[in-house]
Amino acid sequence: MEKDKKNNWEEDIRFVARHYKEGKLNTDKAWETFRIRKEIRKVIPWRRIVAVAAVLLLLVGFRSWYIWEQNRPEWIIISAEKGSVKNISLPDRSNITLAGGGEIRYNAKVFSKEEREIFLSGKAWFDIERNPAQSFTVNTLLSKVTVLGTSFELWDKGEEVHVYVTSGTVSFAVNNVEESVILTKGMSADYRAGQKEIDIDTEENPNRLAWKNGQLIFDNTPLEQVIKDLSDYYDTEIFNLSGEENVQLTASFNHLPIEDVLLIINQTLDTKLTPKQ
Amino acid sequence: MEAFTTREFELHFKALYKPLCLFALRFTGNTDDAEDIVQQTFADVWDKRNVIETIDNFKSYLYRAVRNRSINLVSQHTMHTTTTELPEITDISIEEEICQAERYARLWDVIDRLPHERKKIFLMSKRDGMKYSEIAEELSISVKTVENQMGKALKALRDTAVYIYRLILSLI
Repeated sequence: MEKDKKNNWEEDIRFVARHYKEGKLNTDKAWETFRIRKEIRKVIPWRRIVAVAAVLLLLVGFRSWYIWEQNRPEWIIISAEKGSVKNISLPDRSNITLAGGGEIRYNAKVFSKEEREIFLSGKAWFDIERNPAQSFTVNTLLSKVTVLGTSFELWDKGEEVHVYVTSGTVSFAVNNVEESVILTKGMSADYRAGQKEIDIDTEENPNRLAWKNGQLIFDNTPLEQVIKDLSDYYDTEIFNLSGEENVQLTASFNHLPIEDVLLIINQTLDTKLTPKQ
Repeated sequence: MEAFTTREFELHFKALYKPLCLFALRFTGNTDDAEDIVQQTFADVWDKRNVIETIDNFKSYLYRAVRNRSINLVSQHTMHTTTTELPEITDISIEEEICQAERYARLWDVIDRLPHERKKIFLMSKRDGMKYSEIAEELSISVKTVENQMGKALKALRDTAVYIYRLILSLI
């Protein structure tokens, strides 16, 4: 049986080889001859052309959709209600403490994968997970803060922006000033829209993070600074209705309502501090 | 109502042309005659397309028609010679003959696609019956090269045979 098959195969080859002639038995040529002889019009396979075009279109469409979908940002937006403080953990294990009225947003599709970039409005304290391969950037309306791994406070007030470094090194850049400034622990920088340069303050202010800790500390602090810290802390304007100015305060307050704090100060310093109604 | 559309006819033509030619070739022994016969057979079917309702088993109909035409042609040619030159008409069934013609067609295709030099060597050996040493001398190459080229050509042909064999198996 096996032998038969082999013989068959060899016979087949011998037969075909014996009659083989280059260019003979050409199917396409034969059809052309036939077509012309019988005056058959060339069949244009419209259905197939349409089908192929449809498939191609579908593929192109799907591909475009896929690219669009891949590039479409997926914004995560987190905000803190006024008067509250919100703790946020980011996918890269950085932590953010967001002050009341503040908002952050980041693109979940690329954050911590391709880049670490977030957008802030309002005030927040950042504790950034160290990653030398991927710097962390915070954008505000006016500025851009870039770090590798530090902690700092950034306060976007719309027309002005403040940054205060609590550890490590921070690069602070603003839109209209070419050169960025490098800030280290304890340093702060302020910028107001329209200014030609960034103001740097090297003096530490223990109350910068009072909004976060709930603790206000005054140590021979001039009244003017006290009023400023209280205004920041309670997010309201505070006026001194008495003429008293050249006094200093030493005290600490822990999570106290504004009325209690002002009452204590007024009684101690004989002032008339009052919040804007 | 026609039995088939032009497009269907074209597809049948292209699928069946070569096997039918090789089928006819077994009787005529001449490719030009074989091609003429197949063209004529298809032309007949085409001319009758408005008359016939349907051709049951288009393929075997064509094979039968080609065989009849081939035998007619051969008997005309051999009218004045001895009948012993008539090709041996085997007793195998039409289905087996179709299978054989299709095998031939595949082998023809493989030979068609062989690289130029390999095809030349193959045909010198199998068609012209030359020995490997004669081919080597004719082409001024080594016998080893001839053997090598023949091996590759035969392998290509054998692969087709295996493919057909597998296809049949898978159909069963």
